[in-house]
Amino acid sequence: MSTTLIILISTIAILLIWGIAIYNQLVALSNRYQNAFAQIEVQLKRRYDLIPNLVESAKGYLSHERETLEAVVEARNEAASALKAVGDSGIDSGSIKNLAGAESALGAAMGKLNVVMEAYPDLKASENMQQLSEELTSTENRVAFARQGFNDAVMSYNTYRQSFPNMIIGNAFGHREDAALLEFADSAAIQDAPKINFS
Amino acid sequence: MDFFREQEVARRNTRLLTALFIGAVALLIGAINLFLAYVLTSSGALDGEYSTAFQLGHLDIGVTLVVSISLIVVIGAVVLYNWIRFSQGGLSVAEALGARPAVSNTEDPHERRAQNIVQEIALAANMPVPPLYILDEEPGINAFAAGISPGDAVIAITQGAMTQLTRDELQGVVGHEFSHILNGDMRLSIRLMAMLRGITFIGDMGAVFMRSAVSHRARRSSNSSTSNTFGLLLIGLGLYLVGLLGGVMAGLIKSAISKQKEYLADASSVQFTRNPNGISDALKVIGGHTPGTLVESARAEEMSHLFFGQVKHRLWLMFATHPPLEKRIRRVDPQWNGEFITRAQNHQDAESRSNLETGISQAQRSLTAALAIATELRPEANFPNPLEASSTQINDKLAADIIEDAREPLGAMSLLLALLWQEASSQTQRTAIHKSDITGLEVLVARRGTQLQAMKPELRLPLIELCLPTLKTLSAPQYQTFKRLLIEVVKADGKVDLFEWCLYQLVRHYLDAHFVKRSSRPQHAQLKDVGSSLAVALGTLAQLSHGNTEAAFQAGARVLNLPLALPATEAMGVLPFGKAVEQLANCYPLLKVTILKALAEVAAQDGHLSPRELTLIKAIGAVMDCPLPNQMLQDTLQSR
Repeated sequence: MSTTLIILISTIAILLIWGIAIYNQLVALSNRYQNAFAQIEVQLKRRYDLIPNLVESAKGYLSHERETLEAVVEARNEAASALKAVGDSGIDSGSIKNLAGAESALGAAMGKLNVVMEAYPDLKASENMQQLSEELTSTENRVAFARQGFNDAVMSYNTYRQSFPNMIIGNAFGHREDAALLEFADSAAIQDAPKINFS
Repeated sequence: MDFFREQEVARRNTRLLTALFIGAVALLIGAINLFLAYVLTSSGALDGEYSTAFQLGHLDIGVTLVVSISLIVVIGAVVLYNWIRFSQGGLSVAEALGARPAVSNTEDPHERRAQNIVQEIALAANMPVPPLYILDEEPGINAFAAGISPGDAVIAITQGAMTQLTRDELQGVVGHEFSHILNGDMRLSIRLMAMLRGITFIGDMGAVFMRSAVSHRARRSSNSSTSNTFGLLLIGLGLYLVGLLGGVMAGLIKSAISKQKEYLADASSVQFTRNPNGISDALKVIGGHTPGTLVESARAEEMSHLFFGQVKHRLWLMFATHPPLEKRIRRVDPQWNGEFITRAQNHQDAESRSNLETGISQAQRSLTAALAIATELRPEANFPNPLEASSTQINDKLAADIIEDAREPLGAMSLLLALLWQEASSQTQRTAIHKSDITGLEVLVARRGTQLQAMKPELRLPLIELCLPTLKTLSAPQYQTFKRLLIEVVKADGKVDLFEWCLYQLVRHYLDAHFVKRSSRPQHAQLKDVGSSLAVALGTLAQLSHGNTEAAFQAGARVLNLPLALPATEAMGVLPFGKAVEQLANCYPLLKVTILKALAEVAAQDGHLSPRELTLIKAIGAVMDCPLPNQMLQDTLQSR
């Protein structure tokens, strides 16, 4: 009786400890990627705040290009609300996909604006405009970098979660789904987006 | 306040703790054995193999032995597991309590203010900025520090502390937590926590048994194995009761050790902030605040000794981990009139929202000032305004931009690389950065590189310390890329100078701990074990000074009380120096103090401490896990 009891107790204890360790690691990894997303969030927000300023500065010169400007503002608002939705509902694949879509649309709209602006040398020369474009470029770089960090963090979470026996613990205690990578469908466009060529 | 003396005391307390723990475990084992013997004899579960009447003399040696050993094994396993887990750093403790990391470039003014305060105090304590964690949805005013060494320490504060306290008060609270880090209390706390977990685990196990027995019975009540489940239930109950006893003992141990430390930390907080009103007002606000310092988090109880204030209600004063508020206030502010400060909830909220913008820029200004103050450390300095002094070289706007950059991973990376920028070899460095393929880094580094050339040399170390915590948010592959890049940039001019060595060591020392698991324990108990390393370290520093190298070297050797000979010049390059310092880092804490004092002596031998010497000493201190508060360096200089 006593040996069986001891074996029983020790087995339970070891399994329990092992399970707890796996669960804690899952929590740590998921916190890590959520924190990494917070980094992107801040930079994206900064970008969305800069775009209205850019539009406002360009308005005076681009009175004939109302449509392009409106498209940019609209895409910006869409992206901002998509970002807010991710913040509110947590990072799941649906909201991330929405954000990526909105970001791509914004990238396309910004690209069009850049082409239009090429035709207005006065606008390009304005000091205000130069400052804004520098800010946007810098922010864009930070987004790219933070996104890379986020995707790395998501990948290590997913890998850990999918391995055996971690998946059993994960499935039982609320780590059922893979976290979604943030991939902008048209990343070429987003790279170009804020680059306003003043040369 | 002598931090090193306190670290030694903390180490001695650890031994006391171990003794208490062993006593408690022995008591528990005795209790369980008595209980088991009673159960086995009275229930007759084992076919009358034992006499039915319970007598102490009938304790079966074999059963007792097996039970005791298995208990020791289980408790040992639990303690070991928790020890390893908590030793992973403050991070795991913070996460266990449900704290979230503060966003490093947040727009929430409260969060921003709290982070600024942590950075300011870190600069005053001259250690890398620990990451800040926030316990959301905790209205009580409380805070804690966790982690083994300054490299992996974290500071956490509750939502209540963040919003209800004024800037000065929060500074006092954060200063209190920092002194726990510097006093070496955290190692003790973590051992305490691991051991207490081992004791209370028995009770938890009992609860599990009881529950499973009850559900077992409910499922098959008509089965013949009822006596077995009854036995399980009884064992569970016994374990649970013994666990309660263990809980009482755990509470007593905790209370005995942690009360004294709180007074000490309060006093050290005043030393950091030079403002006794900060901490005493914070304590008074807590007294007038309805939720007080209570923390709701489920696991707060077992970690209660880590916190700034009492976590649970003081039902039994015997178990209190913290001295009463009134006593703490009186120690800091003897003229206290006995009245607490009552503050309308959210009054702070409304105020700060109305001037959010000024709040942030104000915080930024004060941080810029702190940056300068952290480096202002010359005995002859007659308090020049640090901002004015530095504005000739680097203006406020730029300083604010740089601090802003340091909060964000890409910016922090670019700042560290920019510190290594050299006009002479800028082309090689640019190529290296370009090849690393990190978007936008090259432009940032090139711009900052030229700007930082104009920065005062003594501001470099604080800037590095400001950047390090942000880099902890990198992912592991990103960090590896960055480290490779750092080495390439350092080697761009074909040689490694002392500042480059310092920077690389600091990055490696504080971040490797985060990304790569490693552990080291003290090996050298006597100075003469590390004689050759000491000679190299002192000699290298002596070469930097403008006076007589030999005289400076011997001044240091006198402090160490060792007959050392100045090594040949070719034996003192950066490489041997690096190796020497790493060996010195394995000394026992009290030896490190002597070593650092000797180093300071060497540097100060020509009557003044140049920024290069200062940076080097501080960097050595950092690598040795022995942060030197500025106050302490100053004392060393003046006592000459």
